[in-house]
Amino acid sequence: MNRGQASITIVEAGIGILLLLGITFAFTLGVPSADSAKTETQLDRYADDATTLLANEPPRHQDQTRLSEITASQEAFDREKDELAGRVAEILPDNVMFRLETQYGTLGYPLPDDVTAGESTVLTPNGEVHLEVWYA
Amino acid sequence: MSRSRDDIPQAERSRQNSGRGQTELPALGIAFLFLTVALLITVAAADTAFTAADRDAIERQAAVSLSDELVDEQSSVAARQNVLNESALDQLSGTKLVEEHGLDDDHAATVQLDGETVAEHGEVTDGTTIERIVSQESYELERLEPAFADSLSVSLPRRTDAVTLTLSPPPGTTVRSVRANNETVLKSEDGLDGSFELSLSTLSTTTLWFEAAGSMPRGSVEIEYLATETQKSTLTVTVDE
Repeated sequence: MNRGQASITIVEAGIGILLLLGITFAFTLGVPSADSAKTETQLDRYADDATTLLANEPPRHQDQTRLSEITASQEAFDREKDELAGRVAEILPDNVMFRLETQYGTLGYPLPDDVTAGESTVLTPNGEVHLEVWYA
Repeated sequence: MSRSRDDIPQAERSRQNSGRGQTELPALGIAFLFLTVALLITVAAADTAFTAADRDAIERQAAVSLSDELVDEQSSVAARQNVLNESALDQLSGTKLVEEHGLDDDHAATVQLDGETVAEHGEVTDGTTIERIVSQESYELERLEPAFADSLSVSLPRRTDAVTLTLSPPPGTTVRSVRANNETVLKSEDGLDGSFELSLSTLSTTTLWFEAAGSMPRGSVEIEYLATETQKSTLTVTVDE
């Protein structure tokens, strides 16, 4: 009976400690680390800046801007896609990969799983252009 | 045990109580010690996590909003959205960051363009850095002397908002009018000769059409325009709380 009662105290204390350790781990591991929040913020800025620059760039052949040119038609997309992919890669920093989606097709690289990505969508007279960027 | 508590003799009860109490006391003490230590660790961890999160978030927000202010088209250093004006950027200073671009006076900050510091406010030891992709514009005068083959027309290879057109047709040739795409921009029944400033739209490629009686050899039309060269740069904004 003595043994039983003593061990209950220890068991209670043990449970208490486990609870507190659980809370500790929640704080140390569960709070999103500053790095991932910063990475996402930075990548969002990259995506914003890239689409802003592209949206203000003159087109190569016709239409009003580079992005409205590529969303004009399937032929325009097929004609311009390699050039545009080169241009996006040129605008973005070297360690950033991208994927650009339009209604006529997709440019760039497939988005890997489990990667922090920044994104930006711009409207053109002909349709939407969606850009996703992530660190390679 | 079927007897009630009152049936236990006084001596036996006191022995039992004291025995139970003393067995528990060290265990209780140790348990409290452990709990206190665990509690302290938890509170410390929580405090660190919150301070770090707060500090980082504030710094990051400050850096993002400062960089947003700088690349905004209304900003004093930007020509258009994300396009910086190089000469205005040279005028940028730490005081201007606070007065015009909304930097908190208590925060230290540096602004760099391609690794070169353009403005500094206070002393940055560490801090949060945000990079922006911007382009810088410079202008270059281009000259074009078209040789007309099939038609008296020439498409400008670059979009520009202003061209200087110099017409010097050979004797016997009269240039009656000049059209930019479908719009007549110059017209004279007596013949056009000399330099003319034309303003054009940058939203479409311009083709100039000439209406002339007589031959137009190379050199009778000279077109000068400002071609925009854009150069990509990285604007780095670091804010230290």
